[in-house]
Amino acid sequence: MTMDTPTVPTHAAPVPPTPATKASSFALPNSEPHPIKVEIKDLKFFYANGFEALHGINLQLRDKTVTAFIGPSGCGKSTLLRVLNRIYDLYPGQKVTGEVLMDGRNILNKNEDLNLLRSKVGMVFQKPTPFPMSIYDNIAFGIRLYEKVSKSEMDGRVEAALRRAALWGEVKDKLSQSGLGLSGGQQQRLCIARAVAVRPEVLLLDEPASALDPISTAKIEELIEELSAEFCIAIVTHNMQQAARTSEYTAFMYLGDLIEFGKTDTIFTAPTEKRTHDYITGRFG
Amino acid sequence: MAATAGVGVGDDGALRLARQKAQNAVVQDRFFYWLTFACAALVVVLLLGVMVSLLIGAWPALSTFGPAFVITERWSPVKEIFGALAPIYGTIVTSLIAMIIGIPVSFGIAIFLTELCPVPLRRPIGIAIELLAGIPSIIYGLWGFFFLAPFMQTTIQPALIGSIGKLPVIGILFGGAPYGIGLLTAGIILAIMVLPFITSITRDVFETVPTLLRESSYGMGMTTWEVVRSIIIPYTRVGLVGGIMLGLGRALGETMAVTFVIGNSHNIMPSLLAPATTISATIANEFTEATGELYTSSLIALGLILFVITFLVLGLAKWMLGRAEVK
Amino acid sequence: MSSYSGRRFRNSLAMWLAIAAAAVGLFFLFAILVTLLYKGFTAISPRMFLESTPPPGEDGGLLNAIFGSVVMTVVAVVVATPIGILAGTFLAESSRGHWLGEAAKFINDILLSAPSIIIGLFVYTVLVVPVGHFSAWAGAASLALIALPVINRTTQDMLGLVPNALREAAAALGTPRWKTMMSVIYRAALSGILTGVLLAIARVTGETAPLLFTALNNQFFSTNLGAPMANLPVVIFQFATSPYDDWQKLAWGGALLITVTILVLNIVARWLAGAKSNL
Repeated sequence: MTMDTPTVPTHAAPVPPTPATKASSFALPNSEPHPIKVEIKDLKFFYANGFEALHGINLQLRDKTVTAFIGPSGCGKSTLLRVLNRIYDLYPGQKVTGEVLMDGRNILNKNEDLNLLRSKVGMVFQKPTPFPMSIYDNIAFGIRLYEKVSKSEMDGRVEAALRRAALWGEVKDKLSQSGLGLSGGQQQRLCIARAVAVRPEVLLLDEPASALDPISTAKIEELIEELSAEFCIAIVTHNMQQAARTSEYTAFMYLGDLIEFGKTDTIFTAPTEKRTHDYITGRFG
Repeated sequence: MAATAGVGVGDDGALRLARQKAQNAVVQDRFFYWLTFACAALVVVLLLGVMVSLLIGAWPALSTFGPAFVITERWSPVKEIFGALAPIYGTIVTSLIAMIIGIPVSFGIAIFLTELCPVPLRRPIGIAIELLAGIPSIIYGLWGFFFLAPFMQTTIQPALIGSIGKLPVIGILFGGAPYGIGLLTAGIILAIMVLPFITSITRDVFETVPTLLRESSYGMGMTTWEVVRSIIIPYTRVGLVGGIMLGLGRALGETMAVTFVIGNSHNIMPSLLAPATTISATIANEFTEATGELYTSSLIALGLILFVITFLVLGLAKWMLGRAEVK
Repeated sequence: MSSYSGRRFRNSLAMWLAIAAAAVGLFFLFAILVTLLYKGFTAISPRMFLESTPPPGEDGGLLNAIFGSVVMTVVAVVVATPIGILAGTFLAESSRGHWLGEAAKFINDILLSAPSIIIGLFVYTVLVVPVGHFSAWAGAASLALIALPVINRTTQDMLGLVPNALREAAAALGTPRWKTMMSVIYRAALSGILTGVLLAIARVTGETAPLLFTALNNQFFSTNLGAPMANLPVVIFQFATSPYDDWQKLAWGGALLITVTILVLNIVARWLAGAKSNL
């Protein structure tokens, strides 16, 4: 299943400090890019049957910034995301090599406490996955895992998280009802609220709106813009317009390689690689 | 800043708490893993325990009588000579009768439910058949003893003796006096008992046939029967045999239903209308009154033989059903 | 090549036979249930529930037998349910693909379908012989051994139905595995697991053979679990095969009681499996 193209570890475009682009309306006035939060070095990923799904990825995710991952199905973007919170560890046989440094610490280390890591790196999945409990408990569940919080403080945290997810108005009178009774779009926002309630340092969004209707999708994209002021966000999407709308940086992947990485503006208006250009203009994918 | 940063930045107490909880979690997970492992292992240990205890209990009889135990008909508590042939014979014959009657009827019901039955009736009738499986064997035993056996004695058996019983060769199977109880009656009860099992597996297996295959067969102009006979049954062959083996396993081990109507005789007679005994009926009837080590041990030896037979049959059934699923 | 009318004839014949088969199956079901109702109904009276089993030739009730059956069933289920659920959890969650896990599942299914009289023999050698006498504990133990594989199997099946995404979502929050199971996964599979427990109870309710040489029987009302205790199936067996009319009547009454209990349990289990689905 290997291509003829040489599997050279692909480059990561080093991003020089540039004046604030118009891509994000939340660009800082002093135009300094935020510090690097996650550094991925020569990352390779192998499925249990030996198949190499990622061929040596190098890139950086910056704090308080949205980085989008685009590419055709099977290019490895979700796989890459799932390395960042080591959720692949749930499946015996899957392996990685390389390094992923979060605040300087390699999270791929064997001694890394996975539960603690995952409490700091939140994830929202493609399909909404509310827990079979009340809306309140859905949010409180994650908080209770690692924090000791009084009832009144918990009420406040739950409300804050639901407000962040633009869900508070719709559910404030039915917090004790099951999360499963909400609509699809609401359930997904509940999952987002659940993820941000524990105050993670990094937020991973794996095609968060692809299972939703356009109105819910628009709401979620608004959310992402707001959340990007606080969190380091990585979003996988196969919707290029979504990537262009919501992110400051974009990574284009193809068949397990990082083809191009840079500011969203540049990628979408003047990509360096031909394959990027072909994908963006819809020639394939 | 602490409000937006993650847990632990700039908040030592919270960081320590989180770390502590994470460490506890590792220990708790390990405990949970080993707890569930122990419970799963317990099931395996239990089966081994059953085998071992049967072997130990059967040893005195097996060592006294040797392999001849299996082919000896004589069963004399007084003389302390025991042979397993009559129970084994009864077990096999009654199960065979149950299969001969039960398999076609089960297939018939399954075909009815999957091809003929109007859709709104399918669930209720299917559930009704499954309810048969829930009725405990002692109820079947009661019904058989008080209703089927007298009916057999007054009606069916005289008819059989008068008709087939007069034919050469096969007539021996239906000769003798109409006792009402006996191998045939027990076989019929067993057939009714295995019906729901074989039916439900046959139905499940029939439903794995791809709709496309079905539709193209009908589209070619085949009649329902032809589709069933030439397409569905061959396609589901392995699963069908697995279901049959499962029913057989049930029939072999059945105790109470058989005990009521088998007649409890340790003599092997050529007629199906004669009283007989099965392994489980012998054990059920005689165990609590067995005196003497050899008597008890012989009964346990019977249990061991039954265990081995059903283990093999059930193992084979599972293997076949497993292969049917992979298809 | 057979003629078309020949094919049609064979088809009609086959279809009528299939309908006949279904009719036969339903006939027997109704025959048995109707018989049970007819013969057992006359025995149902307050007396059956208030008095213990009578000596031969006299009238009485089934109180001690009902009590004994209930007690032993409760003990059996209380013991078998947590072990069965935990075992099913291990086999469904922690042993994916591993050959030992597959072997354990196979063995569990063998135990599930094994003749119950053999379970009785096993418990006899392990719990009756060393102790020196029959007891309700031994009876409960044999019932537990019958319930355990049922609960194990249904737990495996129900946990398998819970979508993986739910496990990942919990893990992504940093939830430890045990807490994921207890607070999320079990809750999602709860109605299914409960169904398994109900079906196990239904299965255990009618079992006679294993009780024959473990709990034995007791003519009187007893609350001593360390001694033989009356129970419905063995009482039915003894009374039905006796020549006394009163005893036979009570046997039918007990049989009706057992069957109604089992049918109700099955119906509730079905309703539970169908209605409340948190998945």
